[in-house]
Amino acid sequence: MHIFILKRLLMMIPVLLGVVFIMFVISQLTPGDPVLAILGEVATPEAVAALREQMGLDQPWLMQFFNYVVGVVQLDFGTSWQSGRPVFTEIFARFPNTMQLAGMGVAFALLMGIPLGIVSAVKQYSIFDTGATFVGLIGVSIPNFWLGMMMIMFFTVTLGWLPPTGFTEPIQWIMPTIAIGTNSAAIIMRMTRSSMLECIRQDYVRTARAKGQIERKVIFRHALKNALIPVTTTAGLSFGFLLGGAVLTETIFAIPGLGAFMVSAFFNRDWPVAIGGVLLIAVSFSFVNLFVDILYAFIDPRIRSQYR
Amino acid sequence: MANELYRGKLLNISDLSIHFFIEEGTVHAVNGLNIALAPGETIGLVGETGAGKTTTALGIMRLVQSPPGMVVEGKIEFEGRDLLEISEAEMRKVRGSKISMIFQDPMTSLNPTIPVRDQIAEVVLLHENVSAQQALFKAEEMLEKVGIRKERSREYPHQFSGGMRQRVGIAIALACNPALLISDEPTTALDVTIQAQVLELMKDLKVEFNTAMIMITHDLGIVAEICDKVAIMYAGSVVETADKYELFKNPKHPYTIGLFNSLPDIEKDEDRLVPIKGLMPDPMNLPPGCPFHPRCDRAMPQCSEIVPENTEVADGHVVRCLLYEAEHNKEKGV
Repeated sequence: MHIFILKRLLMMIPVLLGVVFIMFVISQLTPGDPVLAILGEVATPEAVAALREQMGLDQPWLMQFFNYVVGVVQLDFGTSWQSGRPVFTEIFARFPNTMQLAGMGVAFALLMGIPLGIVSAVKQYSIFDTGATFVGLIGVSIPNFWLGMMMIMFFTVTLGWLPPTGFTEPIQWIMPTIAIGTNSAAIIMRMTRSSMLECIRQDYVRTARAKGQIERKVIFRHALKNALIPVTTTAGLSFGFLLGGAVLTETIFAIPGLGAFMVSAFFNRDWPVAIGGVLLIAVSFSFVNLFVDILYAFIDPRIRSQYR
Repeated sequence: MANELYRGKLLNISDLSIHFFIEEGTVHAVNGLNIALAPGETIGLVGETGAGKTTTALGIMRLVQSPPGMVVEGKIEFEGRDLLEISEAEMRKVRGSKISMIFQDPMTSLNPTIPVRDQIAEVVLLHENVSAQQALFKAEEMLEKVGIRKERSREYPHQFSGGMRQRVGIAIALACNPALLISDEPTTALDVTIQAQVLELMKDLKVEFNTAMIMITHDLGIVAEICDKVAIMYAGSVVETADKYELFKNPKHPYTIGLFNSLPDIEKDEDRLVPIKGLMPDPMNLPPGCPFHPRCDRAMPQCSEIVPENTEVADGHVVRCLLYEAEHNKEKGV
């Protein structure tokens, strides 16, 4: 198990190198000169050349890539071309908000999706199941920014219950969490339902009943544990999806998060910030995936014995 | 009439019918089945795939999936109570403690995420007034009894072979010392050598625990090995039942005779086996009269019209066939 984790950590290195490399290629292919973006169109050629040299942009891009990687290893992510402050501080001022938003979104999705999915599966074809399926379909279909705006209109403008913006007080977390988590909640509900339906028809569930076990324990002890594996996968993927997809939610609720910050960095060709942000999201996603894989081992001993 | 013939002491199933109501129609899985069993006795329930053997077993446990399955008729008297009348809570006290079941496929009937020890302890905890620690201890004891070292008790099902898993299944079934054990083709999924071992184990433990057993099988060899009585099932009902020796020596029902004819006999020099022609009828659309008549080479015109009654041709030997019904009635002078 320790060796497995170590292996997986080592495997992250090429993945992250790949991510940075692709970002560098994109930065080369994107039209627009960052130096001109900073100095403006009227700058003298001498000033442009001087700044270009100062930023290291006069070197071949492969060299820039190499220098960047060397810097990252020493936790130096460069400085923002926009603000002149270190990328590391800029990003970490905002990243916790995005992490919290995505984390709460996934937590909301799990808390809603798993219980509803279980009840739907246990009472298949009941009114509850049909209703949950209907609501789930709506949940998958509505875009989160639209849901966010509708919630602001209803809970803030009409009822005046919740503040429309900000992210410091717990009461401000409610609407963004629901907005960002609803899609995933619906997906997780459907996944739990189908996975449970499969598990409650398994022979070992019949064995549990044949032991005289009460129905509640048959479902929770015997069926649920086996049904959770695909749900765990989905939850892990949702987390990555939410990290990247937080931009719209952050914009609507004016949350100072990484998503909105990175979008402005892309528009301004502020590549150190853009690449640093993408790298950080890739790192988080890799760790979440590793965490999911470790979780598998706790759920299913068959997987545990494969982790060598 | 039928009830008089089947007066068992431990289990007495009379006129049991279990149907499945599905969209395409009604599946007549079990139709008017009668079985009786005394304490400690073993009955072999023999029949082809689809004869309703497993449905009967699940019916006794009240574990038939419902909907679509439903017991439409009959009684399952066990230790003097009709299991179909008692509440679900009372039935749970019966399952696993008084009646337990060994399932066909050991690869799928154990929970892959729970150590085998805990799967055995679960049933002990449910039915016996013991602490968790004592239940685990009992589980290890049961494992040793079925021939698995207790050092392996914390392992998971996937770490055991099929035969070993079936031993775990047997340990679960016998942990609470049930009065009745239902074995649903316990050796079908196993290799022949392992089959023999598992059968031997079941035979020994049955004697040790004085457990009555319903052995569901399609293998007459297993019946010869382990059973006291045999009930031959066809299309959801018992067509012939007798003491093992009586049935092997003196089969009466054309279906039973057909079954024996389709077995190779080591003492005769046969070129070809004689199979029973045709296939088991569709349980959604059973033929009228005797369900076996379309495949029967001794069928008479009235077989397609009259449903045969149970006829006792010898002491404890009951056949459901018009051939003997007529003869029997003649003897009686009816």
